Amino acid sequence: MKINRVKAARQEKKLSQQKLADEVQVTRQTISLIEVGKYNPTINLCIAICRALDKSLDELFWPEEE
Amino acid sequence: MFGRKGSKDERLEMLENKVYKEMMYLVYTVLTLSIIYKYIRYGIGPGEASAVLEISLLLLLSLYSIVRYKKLQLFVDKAEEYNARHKMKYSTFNMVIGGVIGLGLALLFGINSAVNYADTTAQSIYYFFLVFGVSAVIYMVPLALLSGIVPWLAERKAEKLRLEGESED
Repeated sequence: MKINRVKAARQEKKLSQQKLADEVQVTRQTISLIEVGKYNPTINLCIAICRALDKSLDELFWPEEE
Repeated sequence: MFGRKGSKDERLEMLENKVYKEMMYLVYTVLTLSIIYKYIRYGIGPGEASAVLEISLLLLLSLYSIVRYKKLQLFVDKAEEYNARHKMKYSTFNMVIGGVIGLGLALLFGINSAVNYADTTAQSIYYFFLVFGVSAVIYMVPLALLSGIVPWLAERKAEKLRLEGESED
């Protein structure tokens, strides 16, 4: 799986993994795995992360063109 | 809807479900091994008597899963998914599995009779074919039909739902 842009967006917002995890009601480990592309979140979690980071689904999760 | 207040971590829930699934496999395996052990240890009649608890538990678990599958329409979804991906129909596949299990049981009973009750080689062969033949009729055919009936009904329901969906489009 391609690495998404959650990490960059989180750092841009100056949020720690723990803080983002608390905001979207998951564990820090889940955020960490999403950032490295080892866990595919459901659409509900994707949307919650997008809202927490003020980004759209496309900006965070849509795979970049080759 | 997407606020997720008070919701559980979906990854943890998924992993927990994976563990529960593995636990169920373990329970099925232990119960099945226990039945096989008792059959081998005590023979066919007394073996069944001593494995009543295991057989009852397996039947109860199967019954529970059938009821849940039916309520959640999982049979219909599984039939639709299987038929979309395979050449062989879901009901045919299940019938074959049921038949193979019946064949295995018939072979087991045939071998058991030949080994435990015959005095000569000729008698062993006669007992094997006699018990195997009767067991095949008793177990193979009903097991194949029983295994195929629910998937066949599910296929019919899936087809009905598909046609309904197409007419709505």
